[in-house]
Amino acid sequence: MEPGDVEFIAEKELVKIVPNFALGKIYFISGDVGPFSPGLPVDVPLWLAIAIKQRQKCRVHPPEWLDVDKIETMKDDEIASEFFTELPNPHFCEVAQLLLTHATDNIPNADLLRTLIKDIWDIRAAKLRSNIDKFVKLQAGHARLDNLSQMEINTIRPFLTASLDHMYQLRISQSYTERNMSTQ
Amino acid sequence: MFGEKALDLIRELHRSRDGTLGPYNEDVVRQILEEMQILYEANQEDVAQVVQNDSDQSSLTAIQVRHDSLQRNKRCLLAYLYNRLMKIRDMRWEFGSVLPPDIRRNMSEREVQWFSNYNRSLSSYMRSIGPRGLDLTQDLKPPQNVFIEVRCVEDRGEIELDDGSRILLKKNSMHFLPRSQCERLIRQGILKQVA
Amino acid sequence: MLITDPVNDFFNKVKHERVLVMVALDVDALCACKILQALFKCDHVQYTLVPVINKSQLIKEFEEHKEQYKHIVLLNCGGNIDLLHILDPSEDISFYVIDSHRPIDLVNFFCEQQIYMLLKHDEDEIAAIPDYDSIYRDYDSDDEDSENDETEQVSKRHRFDEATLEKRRERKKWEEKRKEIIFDYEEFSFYGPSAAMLVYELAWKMSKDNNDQLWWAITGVADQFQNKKIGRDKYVSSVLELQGHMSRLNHRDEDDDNTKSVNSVKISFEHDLDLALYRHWSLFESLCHSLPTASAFKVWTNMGIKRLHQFLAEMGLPLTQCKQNYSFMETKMRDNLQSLVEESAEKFGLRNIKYQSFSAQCGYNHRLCASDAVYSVGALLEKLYSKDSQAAGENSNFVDSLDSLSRVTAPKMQDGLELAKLQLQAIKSSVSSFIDIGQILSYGPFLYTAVREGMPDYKYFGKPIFLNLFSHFLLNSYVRSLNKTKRERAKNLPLVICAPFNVDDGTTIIIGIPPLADESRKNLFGNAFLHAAERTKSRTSHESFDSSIITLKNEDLSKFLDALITIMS
Repeated sequence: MEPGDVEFIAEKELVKIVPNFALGKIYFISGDVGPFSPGLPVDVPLWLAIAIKQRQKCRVHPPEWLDVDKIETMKDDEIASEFFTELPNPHFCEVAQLLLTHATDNIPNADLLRTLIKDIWDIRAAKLRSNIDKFVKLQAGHARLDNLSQMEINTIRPFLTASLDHMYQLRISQSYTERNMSTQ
Repeated sequence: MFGEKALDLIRELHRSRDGTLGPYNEDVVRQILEEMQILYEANQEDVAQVVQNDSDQSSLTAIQVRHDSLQRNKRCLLAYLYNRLMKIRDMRWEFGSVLPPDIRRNMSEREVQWFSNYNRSLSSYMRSIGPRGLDLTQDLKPPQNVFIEVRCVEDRGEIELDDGSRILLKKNSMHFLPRSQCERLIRQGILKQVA
Repeated sequence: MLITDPVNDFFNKVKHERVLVMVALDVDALCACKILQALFKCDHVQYTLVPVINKSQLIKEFEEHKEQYKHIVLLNCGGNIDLLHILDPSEDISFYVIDSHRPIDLVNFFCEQQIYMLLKHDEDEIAAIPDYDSIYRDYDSDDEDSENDETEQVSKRHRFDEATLEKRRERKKWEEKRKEIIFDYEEFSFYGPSAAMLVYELAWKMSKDNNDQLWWAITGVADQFQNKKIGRDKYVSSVLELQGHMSRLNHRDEDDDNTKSVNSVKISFEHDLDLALYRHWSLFESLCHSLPTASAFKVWTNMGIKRLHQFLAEMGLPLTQCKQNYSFMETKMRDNLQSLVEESAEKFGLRNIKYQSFSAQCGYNHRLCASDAVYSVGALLEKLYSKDSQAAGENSNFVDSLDSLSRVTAPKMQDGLELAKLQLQAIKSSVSSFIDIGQILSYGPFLYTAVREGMPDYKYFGKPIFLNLFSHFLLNSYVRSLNKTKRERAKNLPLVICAPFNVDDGTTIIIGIPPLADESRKNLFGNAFLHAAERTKSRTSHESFDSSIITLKNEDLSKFLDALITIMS
């Protein structure tokens, strides 16, 4: 999958907005949204929130996990723990990125948040890389990693599948030659 | 040396890897097939001779070499044909069901036939999805917005959009159009998206 | 027809249609275009942008596109020409004109249906337009009567004699008055409020304005002031309005916790030095090439350079620092620069060295002030191409300039700044040589000079924006170079400049600018050129939207000038 595809899927997450227009309920394929009344918060999918924000017809309410203190504690937890900590949202990175790009003026301390989220991403990526390294070196058959987000899985998917395939083939041919030699 | 012409074909493929389809090298393919014929016949004789003359093992290596070069030629030919077909398939997704004439000229008739068959299968599949069919060749990347701003890179004259309205495409004119109309033109290189 | 409610009468009407936007090639129009684009994108209005450089291109593009669009927006073009007559559109096409050129053609104003003018609700502007009744009136009944009169028999004629004579006399008087009114109205051409400002106000009324659009509006207004299209007072009043918008947008949510992101555009107001591109150049170069300082110090003379050095010494700035790139100057010198200049300015005869202006900053980049943006975009619009790459065409200049306006930190803006530096250098060297050689002649009612083909950089002079800038520079410097007595007279003389336009066709471009002393910047050359051309039957083309710029054949130049002298004395 491309990162664009993962982002597309992430855009289905719900987020709260405060519209400045009035409209009735809208019936989409994946569910209903609305009705919209000026000044009253309503939950909409992220893609719709961004579209309405670009037409300057709403104000976006950042989700409660998108806050400096909470993100800082998350970052400290991440550094402290050996495994992956739980993310507030399965599409944490994409949602944060989209909101910070399109709704910068509605999110307090956007720059600080951006740096913190990048830090968290880097820490997790480093952990992931060392884990993968270990995995491939040990030629293990399976491994278990909790609390990975879709985006991270997407980054390692091509490498992991290709390298494990390759190792499997080598293993097979090795066992084949061993068997041949043992029968001879 | 046997198998050199096959290597030429592969080199040609490798060179045009990033570009468009090169012309179908009819001559070299024919030469390789002739070479394979010669090798095969020579092998036939030798094998018959070996079968007759059980003690004469001297031509076994020759047979082995000829057999291997036959295999190699076959593999190279198949690789050449297969890669060309894959390129043509990608072009269907890129350009749509009508190929530009210069690319058509580079395809052999069998390839053209294959292309039209592929076209037919693809369109019948697309028609079968949902109540009215679904055009899978649009939106190959997830779309970001409904309308995009584009600039025209070359003069194309008037183009009619889906809703009947016509747009004059002059060099360096800028337009703001629905994404679905522009995508095909962007892929053909006529329009360029303005960030 | 005048639109009183732009939101409902213009925007809501085109919201669900496809629009053709025709943009004139000046910085103000480009800024208005950017704001309009942003508004259209917001509401998903399909549009097509077409640049038009002069009237014939306007006609040509209209012919090509008239089948496809029913709503056409004209930015900074078409306000002062009779659109219905020239374009002859079909009944269902509507034109929305946002033009800062004045006077507005009366037909455009009084036409009920197809032409809609967006104007600022300024009492002065609307009052300046003559009454409907004094210009139009029902001719038909009168004409019929008079015709019938002619064919009627003698007896009947005797009976109605008094009444018809009276009517005819009254009609004659009315016609004469009408001619006078129209003549007064169209005598001077000048500029009204900036088009970018108008479109910005439209955005504001729809609550869709933001800092980017405000910056474009600021650039549009700065363009008008910098190219001396409006006087200082009009500029100051526009600046006041912009300041209001700026404080509204930029101080809206400034608390300690809620600081805005660094990457958004921040606009600040300041009393800036009137030095061209000084933040992107060295201080010394900037002083040499800016209009007020160059003319005050007379930098084309050796004495002038010495005085300039004196001025710098007086301010306490070492010469090496001044010749360095501005960004590499010592910080404390940069900070004190404004106050130092102000103190020493009076002594050296520099008046109005400071003016009110805005600057924008995005991220941690250098600040870009409005006049820099104007120089840059103007230079990009008139970028010269060598003969073979002429195929790249004028449209690519338009596209590049639009690109450079898209963000404050756009890389094309830097390219434009470099081009602007070259232009300013060309201006300065040309001005120096002109004044040294004494090429500026007084032709009686106006000053005159000609750019010869052999001169260096002569190609630049064929472009209207550059030519305009050059003429103001030249006029200022020339007046300053005269002694006191002559100066007083020269201040009231307008200037006419000729330059080679197209060498192959043998045409010359002529521009006329109003005298220095005239703050209202009312230009009478539009009409003067027309009359002179008629009198001498010269082969002129009054193609430009600005009526004070025309082109004519080289052979007709001398008789044209003679006629001009006669008309203006």
